[in-house]
Amino acid sequence: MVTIHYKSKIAPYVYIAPAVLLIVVFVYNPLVQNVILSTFEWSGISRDKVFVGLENYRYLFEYDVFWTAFKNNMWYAVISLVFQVGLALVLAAVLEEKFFRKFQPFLTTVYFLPSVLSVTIVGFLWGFIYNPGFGLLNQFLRLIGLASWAQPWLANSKMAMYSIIAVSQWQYTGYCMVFFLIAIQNIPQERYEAAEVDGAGPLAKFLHITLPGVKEMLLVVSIFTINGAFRVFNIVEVMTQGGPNNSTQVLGSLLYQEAFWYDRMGLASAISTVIFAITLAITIFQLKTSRSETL
Amino acid sequence: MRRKLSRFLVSLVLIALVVIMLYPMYWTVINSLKTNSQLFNDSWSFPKVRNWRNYQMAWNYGVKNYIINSFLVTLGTLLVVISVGALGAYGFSRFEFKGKSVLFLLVLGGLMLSPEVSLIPLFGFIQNLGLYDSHLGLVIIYTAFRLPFTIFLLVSYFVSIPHDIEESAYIDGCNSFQVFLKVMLPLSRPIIAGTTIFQSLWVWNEFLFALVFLESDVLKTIPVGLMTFQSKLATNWTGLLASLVIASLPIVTIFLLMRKQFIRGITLGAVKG
Repeated sequence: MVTIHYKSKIAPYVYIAPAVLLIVVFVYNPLVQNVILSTFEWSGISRDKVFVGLENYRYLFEYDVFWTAFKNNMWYAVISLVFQVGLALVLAAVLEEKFFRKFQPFLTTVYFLPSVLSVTIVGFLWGFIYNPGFGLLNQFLRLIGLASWAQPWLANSKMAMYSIIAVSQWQYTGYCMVFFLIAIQNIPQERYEAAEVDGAGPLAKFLHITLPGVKEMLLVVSIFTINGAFRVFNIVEVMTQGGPNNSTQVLGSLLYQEAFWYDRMGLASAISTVIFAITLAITIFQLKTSRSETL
Repeated sequence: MRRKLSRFLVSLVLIALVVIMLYPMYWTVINSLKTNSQLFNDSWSFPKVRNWRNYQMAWNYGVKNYIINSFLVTLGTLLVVISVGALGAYGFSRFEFKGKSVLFLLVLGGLMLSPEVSLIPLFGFIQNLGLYDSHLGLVIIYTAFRLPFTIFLLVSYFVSIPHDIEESAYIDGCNSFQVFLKVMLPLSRPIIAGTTIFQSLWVWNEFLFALVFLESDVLKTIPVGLMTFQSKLATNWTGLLASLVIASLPIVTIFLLMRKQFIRGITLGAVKG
């Protein structure tokens, strides 16, 4: 390669400086500070900070709401894996079948559509659907003779979390499906043709060609689904704000409330650090897995 | 025969999913044209008299403002994140310099860091900088958090652009910045378009930072503005439904008009990575 690019030693630094500075100052700097701040007891109102070591973490790990939130995040992850990975992959495989391919543009558009809406809009929309009085869901259950199932979905502390998780599946299953469509389209068509010659049915083709063919995408989508499940906040804040009785609390909403409702900033920083540790662990796991596969 | 039956059953499932996706939206639209009492008594039927007052009210009492704010913040962020990101990507993909790999890792490491994790220190930081409750503050933070992915996408595209066109531009006497403007940017139009779509959707719908860093109602973007609007409306349910319809329209329209580019933009990163 020609060497004209090296003429100026300063030029490259000038080009990258704005980006690097912004990232260091506004992304890394607060991250480091957050870890430090989590070892203090402090409030947003006064400037006094008392060093308490790991006390915030000890408090957190003995705080039952923290474990409720953690459990809810786990459920969020598990159910999202079933729909946004499992169902999304099956749907993508179906839409790539010869017979269904002509409907693919329409169906993709419809299934993807909810994901472009803001979570606030989706949250309110489903608030209406779950409304015990005029809500669509209860009316529908009565219509098909399941009146006994009708209930105040978001006010029932046993059902509220699942009701919220269901909304996210509605919103993002089609979004994830699109990633699998692309992965399947990248599988060489000859493999399917060869399998057909051998008399393989749709299920056999799915298990022996599609599944191995989308392995990498499966990992990518699973990781961002799990990561997303541990960072969820918006939908909870819009629909229930963690209630009733903290039953829909997730780490994100707990962090927000401890910080901005109760002004327990140190505790909130500790929750942030826990979220960071979890998502970091997931990412490291992803890097490890994808590396071992390429070796 | 068995094949036909299974095809029929699968079709039923696909159609059921279409209904599950679309009916709630349809329900929102028809009920946004009713009065509260019509909503309570009969939420299924299409309204005989269409009541556009809900729309006038929603538009005039806030939603118009939220849409303008969202538009300003999204546009501002895009301008900064794409230009700063493209310059950065140019530096990383076209030059050799000391510390390059460490700095590039630093940038890519930002991909792993989620906003939640920096929220509390940023809250204080933004106040100290005098950027609390301002669109500028949001634009700066959005830019910082979207830069790693922008640079990642642009670098992976820039490295695929052959060097010979640049060489001839250098021989014609261009300096490296002119090469960036006249050669790299025009050649990268597709990736810039894709990145723009991806980042606009993110910024347009961002919730957490907007919730924490904006206080005045007049500055709020759609996702947080609607929260305030809801509490202002109290029990005017159909008014809220109308506001949801208006707030969805811009992004839904863009999506339906540019469906292909939109989906390509969203999936850019995963295809590369």
